[in-house]
Amino acid sequence: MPNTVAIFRVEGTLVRRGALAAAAYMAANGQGLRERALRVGHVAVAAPLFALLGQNDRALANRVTWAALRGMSDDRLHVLADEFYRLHVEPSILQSGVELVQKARRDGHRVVLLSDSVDRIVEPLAAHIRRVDTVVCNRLEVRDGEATGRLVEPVVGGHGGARWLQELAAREDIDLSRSVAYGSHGPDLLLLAAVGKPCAVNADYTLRRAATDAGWALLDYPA
Amino acid sequence: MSFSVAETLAGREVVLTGATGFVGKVVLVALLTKPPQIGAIHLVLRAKGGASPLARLEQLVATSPAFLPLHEQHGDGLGAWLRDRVFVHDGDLGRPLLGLDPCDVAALRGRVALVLNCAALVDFEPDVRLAVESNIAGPLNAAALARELGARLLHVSTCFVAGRRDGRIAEAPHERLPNGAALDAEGELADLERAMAELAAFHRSAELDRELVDAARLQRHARGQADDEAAVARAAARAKESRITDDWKQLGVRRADERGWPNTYTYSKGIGEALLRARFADVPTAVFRPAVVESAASFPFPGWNEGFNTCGPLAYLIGTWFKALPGRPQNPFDVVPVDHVVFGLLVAAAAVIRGEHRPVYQAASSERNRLTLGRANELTVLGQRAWLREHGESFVDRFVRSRADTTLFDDTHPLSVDSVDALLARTADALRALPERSPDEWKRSAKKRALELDRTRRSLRRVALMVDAFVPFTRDLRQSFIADALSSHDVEEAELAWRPESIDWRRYWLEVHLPGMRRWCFPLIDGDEAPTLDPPRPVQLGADEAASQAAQRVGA
Repeated sequence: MPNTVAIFRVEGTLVRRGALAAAAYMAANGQGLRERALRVGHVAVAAPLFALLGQNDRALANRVTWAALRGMSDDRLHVLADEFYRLHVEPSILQSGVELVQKARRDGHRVVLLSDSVDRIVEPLAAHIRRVDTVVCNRLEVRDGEATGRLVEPVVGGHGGARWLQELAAREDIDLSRSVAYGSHGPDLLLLAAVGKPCAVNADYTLRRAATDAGWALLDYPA
Repeated sequence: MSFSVAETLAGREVVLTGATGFVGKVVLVALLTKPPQIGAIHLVLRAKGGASPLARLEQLVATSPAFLPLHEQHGDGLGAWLRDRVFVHDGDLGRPLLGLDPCDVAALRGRVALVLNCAALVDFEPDVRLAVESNIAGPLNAAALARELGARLLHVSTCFVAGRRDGRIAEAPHERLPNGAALDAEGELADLERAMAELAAFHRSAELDRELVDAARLQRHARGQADDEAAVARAAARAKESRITDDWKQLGVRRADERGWPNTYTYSKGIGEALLRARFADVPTAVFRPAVVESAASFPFPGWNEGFNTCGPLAYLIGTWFKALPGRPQNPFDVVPVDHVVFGLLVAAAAVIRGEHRPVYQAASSERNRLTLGRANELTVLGQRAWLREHGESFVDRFVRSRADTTLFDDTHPLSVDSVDALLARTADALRALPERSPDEWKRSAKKRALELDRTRRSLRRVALMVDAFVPFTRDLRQSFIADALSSHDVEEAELAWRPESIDWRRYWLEVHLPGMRRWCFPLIDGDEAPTLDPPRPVQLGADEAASQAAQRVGA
């Protein structure tokens, strides 16, 4: 196992769509019209949270959003995630991002995907990209065949990505100074700061400002 | 103690009934492939529609997809291979010793290890005479044959002999009637036969003829038709025919209901089991009760299914516009893939031959890997959704119906079968009652539409009747069947071991069962034929003098 990592923030770096779209899609395909309306309403309420908390506590925004799926059956989640992946994620994969992953592989890095979305969607993506070693994403808690509306701890989305990376580095003797990270949002700041070779991809305003000030690599490709 | 099914069955001879049925075919193919050195299989088949039993088997092997594994294994040599192992006997379940030729019986004495009775009439509400013949006389004659041959008996029954008993159903003989009263099997059969004789006498009586002729005459009067004795006689004859059919059906339904069974099928199977116990205590016997047998998980190939099974009508209905089923979502829906059932049957067969068997085996999933009705419904709905999106015939199918993927459990829903049927009927009536002054063209097209609606209503009613038959299990009862006896045998063949826990319901339902039903069952509901092997793969199982050849082989 190589002792350096290349960590990729999925949203913005590898695919165009964010986690909100996935939750909204699943909410809009619940059982029955009333249930759909309620769930979509819930996601709609959560949407401004992403804007408000976007730069601060994305984990909370994620929690609120995915709670819209409480009580949905595991079977339905499975089928809908598969549908969403095929209809909306796969067509929006960014080829330039995939090439970055391949390059990281060639350079001998261990490849990690980091995503706010849920495993049912990120794992097929990882399989599609191939040669991904680790996926760090959210998981919907399921009990008795139904989603409880909670995410399994630790919830991805806040600034925890950096802490996770540092713990991994300590546990598995990874040299972060020679590791690479690709981020695209403000909350990725700590993550990028933790590695030796940070790169801001299609960065939002906050990250772009910080990257420019810090002198990090800035990369833009058509999204 | 562990044993090997293949070693136990190696070189043994088995008599098999019901080999043309859904389960029977898979049993036959499994007996020929899983324990590779079975000695011989003697099939008891009836001549039907002018085809000899041998011709029927040849036809079956040539066209039924169930035999694919054998075709693949032996190719052109299949006929010769089967000729050494499978022997066809002209027989009849309803006759003593299954109607076998006495010479055959004499030749088989001491050679046959096991009589495997898979034959049954699985119609829920058949002519009670047929139910008695297949489900009561059949097992008794099979047991008598086993006694005569010095063989043992494995009798395939059904979990639903439990009738209206509720809750957890023990894996043991039912010592009482489902309604709680004492069970006197001999008395019950005698009473049933008396009732049948009385009904037959009534059908022959002049009293019934008079009644029907009077009714026919009155009906003509009411319609304002002229007296015409020939026409009256014809109408009375027609009425008599349908009356007789209905009476024989109702006799079974009524008796079953009085004793606590929801239909004639489970009633006759229940009485058959009880009589086996009462009359054949000296024949080592095991009763094998599967629950709802559905598409194969893997053998003979994934998705293999046949005919109208339980899921067929339900799944079909979910694929239409009807959005309400009668049932309780928390009820167990006790589905078992046919290959799990058949492998269990092989294990039970080996146990019986070894003398290590239990009296009753239940092959059911509800206690060990429960699928609820709600989950089965959700999975069906999700499967239909994905299918309609890709294969829907029209825009409406692909974009509207695929998204209207909800089915609730509610009899009073506006989209329940009854209310939709009533709506269609009203629409058809309205179309027929266009005002006299409307243009002829309108009237013609309205009449055509009304006829179309009538057709839709007929197929709707057909499916609704099938669904109604399941209401006792989906709504009224909440049964779950203990199924541990099969796992008490430690078999060396891991593939054959009874492990209902291994079924991943989501994968099975979406990737195996629904596609299987779509391929093998839905065409039947639509009034088409189910697909067969294309092209057929003909085999010759006998020489020119087919039947005598088979008999000679037995004698040899």
